[in-house]
Amino acid sequence: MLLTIERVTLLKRVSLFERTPDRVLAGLARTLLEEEFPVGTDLMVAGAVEDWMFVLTEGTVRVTRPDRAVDLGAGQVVGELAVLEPEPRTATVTALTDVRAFRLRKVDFDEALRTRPEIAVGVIAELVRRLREAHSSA
Amino acid sequence: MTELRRRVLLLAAQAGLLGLSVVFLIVPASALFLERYGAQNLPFVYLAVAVLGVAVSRVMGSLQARLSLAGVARWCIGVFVVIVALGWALLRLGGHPWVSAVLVALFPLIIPVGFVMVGTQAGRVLDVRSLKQYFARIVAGFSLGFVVGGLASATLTGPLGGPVNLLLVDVGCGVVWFGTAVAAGRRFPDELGRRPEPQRQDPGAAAAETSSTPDRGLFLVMFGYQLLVAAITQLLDYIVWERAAFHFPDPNDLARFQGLYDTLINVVALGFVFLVAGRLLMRYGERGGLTANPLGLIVLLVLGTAVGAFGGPDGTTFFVVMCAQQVAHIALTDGMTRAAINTAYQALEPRSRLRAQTVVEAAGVPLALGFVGILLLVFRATHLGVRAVVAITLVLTVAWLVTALVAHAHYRSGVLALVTARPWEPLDLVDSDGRVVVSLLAGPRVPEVRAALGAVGPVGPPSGVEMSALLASADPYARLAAAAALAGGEGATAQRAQREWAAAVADPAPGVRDAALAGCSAARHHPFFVPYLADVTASAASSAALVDALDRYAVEVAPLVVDRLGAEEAGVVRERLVAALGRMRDSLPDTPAGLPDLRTEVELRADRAARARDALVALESQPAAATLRRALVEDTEHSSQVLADHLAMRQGHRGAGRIVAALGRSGTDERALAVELLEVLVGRELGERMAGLLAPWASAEDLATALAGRGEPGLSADAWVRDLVEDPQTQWDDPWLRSCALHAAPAVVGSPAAIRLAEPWLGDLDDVVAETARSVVAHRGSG
Repeated sequence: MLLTIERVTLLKRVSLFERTPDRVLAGLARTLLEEEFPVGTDLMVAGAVEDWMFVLTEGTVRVTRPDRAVDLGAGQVVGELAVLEPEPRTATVTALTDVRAFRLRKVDFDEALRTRPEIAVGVIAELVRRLREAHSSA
Repeated sequence: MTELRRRVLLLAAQAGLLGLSVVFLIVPASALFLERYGAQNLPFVYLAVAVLGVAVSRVMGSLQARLSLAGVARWCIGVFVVIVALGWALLRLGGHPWVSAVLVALFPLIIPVGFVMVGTQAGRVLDVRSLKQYFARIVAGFSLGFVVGGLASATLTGPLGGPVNLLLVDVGCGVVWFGTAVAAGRRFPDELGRRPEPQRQDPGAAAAETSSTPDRGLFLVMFGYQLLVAAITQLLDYIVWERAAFHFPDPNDLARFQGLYDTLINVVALGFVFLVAGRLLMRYGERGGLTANPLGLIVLLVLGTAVGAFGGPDGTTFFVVMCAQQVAHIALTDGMTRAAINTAYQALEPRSRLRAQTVVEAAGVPLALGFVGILLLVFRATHLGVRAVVAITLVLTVAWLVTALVAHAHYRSGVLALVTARPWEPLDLVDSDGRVVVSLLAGPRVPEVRAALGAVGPVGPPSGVEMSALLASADPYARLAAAAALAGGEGATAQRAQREWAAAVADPAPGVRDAALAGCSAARHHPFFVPYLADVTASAASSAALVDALDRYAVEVAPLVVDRLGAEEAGVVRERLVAALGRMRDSLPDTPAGLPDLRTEVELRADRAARARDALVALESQPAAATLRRALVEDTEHSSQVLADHLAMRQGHRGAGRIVAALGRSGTDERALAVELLEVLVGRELGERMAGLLAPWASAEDLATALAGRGEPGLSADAWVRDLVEDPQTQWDDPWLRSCALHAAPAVVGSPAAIRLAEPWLGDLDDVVAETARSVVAHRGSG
């Protein structure tokens, strides 16, 4: 079990939270559920309706969509659209190695968004980045 | 040479050439005029100057509407050179002595026009802080030019065969001046080379623009201020020359006195400008700049009046005091008044700055000369002596001092408006129609129901039936908005609505609380909500819904929050209350009474920031302290936020936010203006400190100034970690800093010492502190 400070240090590596003050992340960090996924396990499955996202802290995952697949590692997030607007998942995420990740629920994320506008700016920046990636690969 | 120095030097060179051009004009022109027409006819020239000055002002205004600043300068200097050249030709070749009257009239016209050109260029190429610091030195170029030109005129008159040919030297100076104006336009094309934007065609917008309160108020008061400066300058000049003529009846003695006295005036002015003026302006700010001259003059005029009353006007003491008045006045004008006037125009919108400055200086000064001309003619006709002139000068100087104080108040509000202007203002749904609201309320779509509930306040509840139905809505926003709308009524439904709303606003779930607050903002104003809103400011973190509700109930809630702030000791709660008051200030007519002392808060925050800085330096080489270092940086940023909230309690949240945003733009005119505004609002010393603390990331220099003489730079990393954990003086009082320090402790102070540090915190009420302390102690077993 990681200390709150250690969780904050990990969260700080995520671009979504890099501009959020540590003491705010400390509050958010305490709501995170720390989970481990052995290699080959699905973190999420396409079509499932869920309202959480994962912050990867260790290991590598493969995000598989109908049109393509990308590999993501520590410091990146998967499933963030679900905490903004819960809809069926558009991709399956599978652990390529042993993976450690934080599960962040919509209710906690909403509270963070409500009190810290810089997180919203981080979300927008991340979505724009994804959108540009999608356009450039299309 | 730095870029700033180059800019100052170029402007000072222009001012110097203005001084040379003026002296090579007035020496021959006045000699020829006095020889031909006598001093008794000078008041008529003053009257002519008044009429011509208004015409010149209109021509300048027309040029400014069409040409760039550099273009206006080229035109004005060009016309000046042509007039002087024609004057020389008519005097030398045509023998027309009346030309001397034209040239004498040109003298008081070209000085303000020249200063408009130098001043407006300075306003474009220097920011407001540099302007205050260096404008006096730029003006010193004029004095230097005047001294050099005066000595050169005396030397050259003989070799050139009389005063007329000095006008040719003047043409030469004018050509060089023209060259510097061209060079300045090329060097700063963005600032000086841009043509003005076309006037807007919308007459309503134009009317609104010309009548905008701060601009118009400042314009009018500066017009009065400069009118008085010019009139008093002329009266002092008259008094000295009237007395000099009495004491030196021989023309040669009078000329010798004139030469020495002019040199003395300009040498004193130069010394004052270079040695004292800049420091005084930086120390006493705009208010000091505007008031120093009338204040000093009042003292000397009272002395002069007393000496004149007891010793008579014919004594040497009276004459010396009269000369001292003028010397002090010119030195203060060159050193402080001109810079303060120029700084005052920075509080106007940039596009109206040049126009206002031209109208005020180019028309105000000639009008003042006309006024003095009439006054002197009246005095001559009524046989009133020089003591009456001194008395009327004293009265005008008192009026000048009052005008200076009024001008400073306008300057303050002008800078505030300029820094805090919003690009747009939010509006209520004031045009909502009752039928539209009802149809939206009855609709199936939640967003439409919410929009309709937002319009209920302005138009009033449509009917109890629709609202009561919404009490059963699944959407908390619709349900609680209905509860809030019904809470203001009477009877059982209202009581039920009140209970439901009160429970929701105390709900720990932020979403429910915000829904209740949003409903309260949309409903009609009712005192039922006031105590609940006062409670929620202390118990909940801020949110958009809370801010909206506080905006609506600011007048009633603010006094309750101020009382609570006076009694509250918990730091977090105090910060929430301060932030809430900052938010409410925008909706209050005045700053609430009983706020905590701003200076004390700034001192506390400066001490804290200095300690954080010193701890950061000591921990710089400790890799294990990365989180602690970040926490210290964020602690200083948090202090900035708290100070911004304290500023917002006094100046409003929007204003404070814009000041902080402007302070964050390092090296810009906006930042300089924001620093200036802070100094105007809270005083120079406190403003300077706040500027460094409110945006600590923007200027290392300003932060260092704010923290000078504070902190404990000698402490080691070990000592800082112990201090942050133990916090013996409760100076940090922050669980997050303590947690980070505990986390870094094993690497910084060693494991045994870290365990001793951690043990007292194992059962701390703060979970993160306790958890980190347990982790440090647990490593004893594993390590």
